[in-house]
Amino acid sequence: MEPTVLDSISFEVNLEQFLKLIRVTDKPGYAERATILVAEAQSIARPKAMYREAFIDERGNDYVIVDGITLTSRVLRVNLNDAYRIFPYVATSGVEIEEWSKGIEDMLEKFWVDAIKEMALRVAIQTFLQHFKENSYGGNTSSMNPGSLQDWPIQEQSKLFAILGKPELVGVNLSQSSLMYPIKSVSGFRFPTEVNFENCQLCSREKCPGRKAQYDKDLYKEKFA
Amino acid sequence: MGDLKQIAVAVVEGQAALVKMLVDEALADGTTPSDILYHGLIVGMDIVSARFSNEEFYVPDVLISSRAVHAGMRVVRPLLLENFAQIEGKIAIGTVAGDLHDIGKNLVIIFLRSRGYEVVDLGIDVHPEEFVEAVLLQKPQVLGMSALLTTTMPIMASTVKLLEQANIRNQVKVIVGGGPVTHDYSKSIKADGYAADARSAVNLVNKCMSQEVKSWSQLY
Ligand code: B1M
Repeated sequence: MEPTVLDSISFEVNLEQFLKLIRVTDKPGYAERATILVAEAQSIARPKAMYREAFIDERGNDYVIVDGITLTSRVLRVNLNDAYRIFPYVATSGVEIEEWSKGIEDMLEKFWVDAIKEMALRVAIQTFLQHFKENSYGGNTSSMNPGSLQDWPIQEQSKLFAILGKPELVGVNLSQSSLMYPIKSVSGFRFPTEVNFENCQLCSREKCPGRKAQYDKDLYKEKFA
Repeated sequence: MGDLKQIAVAVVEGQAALVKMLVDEALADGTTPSDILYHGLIVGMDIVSARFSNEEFYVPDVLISSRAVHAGMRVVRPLLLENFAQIEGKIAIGTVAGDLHDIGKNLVIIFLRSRGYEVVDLGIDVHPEEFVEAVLLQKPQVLGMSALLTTTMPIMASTVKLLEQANIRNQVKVIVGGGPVTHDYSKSIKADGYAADARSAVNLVNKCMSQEVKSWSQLY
């Protein structure tokens, strides 16, 4: 199945909210400069996402073969017990805004621009999720991402990309260390499931802002061991 | 010292132009660059980091104050450089190979620079060989490594080993930090220290440098 490429995503920053976020509403000089940067970023940014449907060929104890490619992870294997297909995806702020941001030298402006790039990524993720729900699978799904758990390390990224096929269609490349460029990109796959799964349930990291679920210290033993 | 207090207040308020003006005035009045740095700019930044720790200030506020510190620093730094002994020290810092998370590392850098340190930013995805090369070429007193992915933490251990193999481990203090890193982990890989956040990273570097300064005084 050919991948779905979402490459004409509109990107608009809520300026008032952004100026609040960077705490410059009462600093006219800074607010003015930030407004200019937002306008430039909006005109340049082309957030993108792509995904496709892929089928499970085979399962072992700690691996699953998808479209002929072996993904090795016990957690992934158990999560896919009842699934027969997965939806690999990648979403990105886009190479355009990444290139533009390289020209920003000032550390304060760099920080603002970083926040704008992350907003572009978020728009790409939202657009993907909506498109996916409306066109591919409307039921309950969860996500797994290479690198989020030791059990499914970042080195598996290249396999995910191979299943996804042609991520260069959205301008995303993998480095030798399995990192995605542009930096503001995320990858993973969604899978149909009745029971919600979050990587955070299996991660004991303390003081982790933005946690999506509480750490469940018994879950691995009960479900995945 | 009245002017120095004003400088500190202007730093807290993030008024870069005012800081520069006050620093120029203080110098014209005969205040030493070192007093301006330690009793004006750094005092201001210390207040900022305390407020940051108490969650009265957020990252954007810290950055605005930091910019104000730099406006003053740009004036005093060349004068301080004329006297090597007055320079705080040099740190090389990077996010380890296989990792891209740099927001925390960048924050640590901003805090360190605002404290008067010279920081060489090695960027992201830095391999052990590159850390070692940075120590050889840049000769920092402190080498900092940041990791946010659990799976990239072992790069820190490999780097320490490579520094040993290159016989330069005793030339540099190694400090580590980042979400999954802990004090115990830092000890297990024989790093010299661990910091949980940007403020404690500055305290840790201060400690490393004060030990280092003792050995400099033996040298000079
Ligand atoms: C040298 O001395 C020192 C001393 C102190 C030091 C220090 C060094 N370094 C840090 N400190 C300390 O001081 C700093 C300031 O107080 C602190 O720094 P921190 O970095 O901790 O704090 C920062 C100020 C704020 N914190 C952060 O910036 C990190 C936040 C989280 C949400 C995060 C972010 C923002 C991002 N990410 Co990523 N991300 C997560 C993070 C989850 C979390 N809650 O930590 C984490 C780290 N990410 C993860 C992953 C897996 C990934 N991410 C990815 C992507 C991203 C974004 C692009 C969306 C963004 C990157 C932003 C950037 N440029 O850095 C992916 C890779 C992208 C790529 N390009 O290849 C991807 C691989 C997922 C994927 N497959 O798509 C997870 C790692 C899991 C693990 N257990 O190892 C993760 C815990 C999220 C999760 N729950 O799954 C201290 O730790």
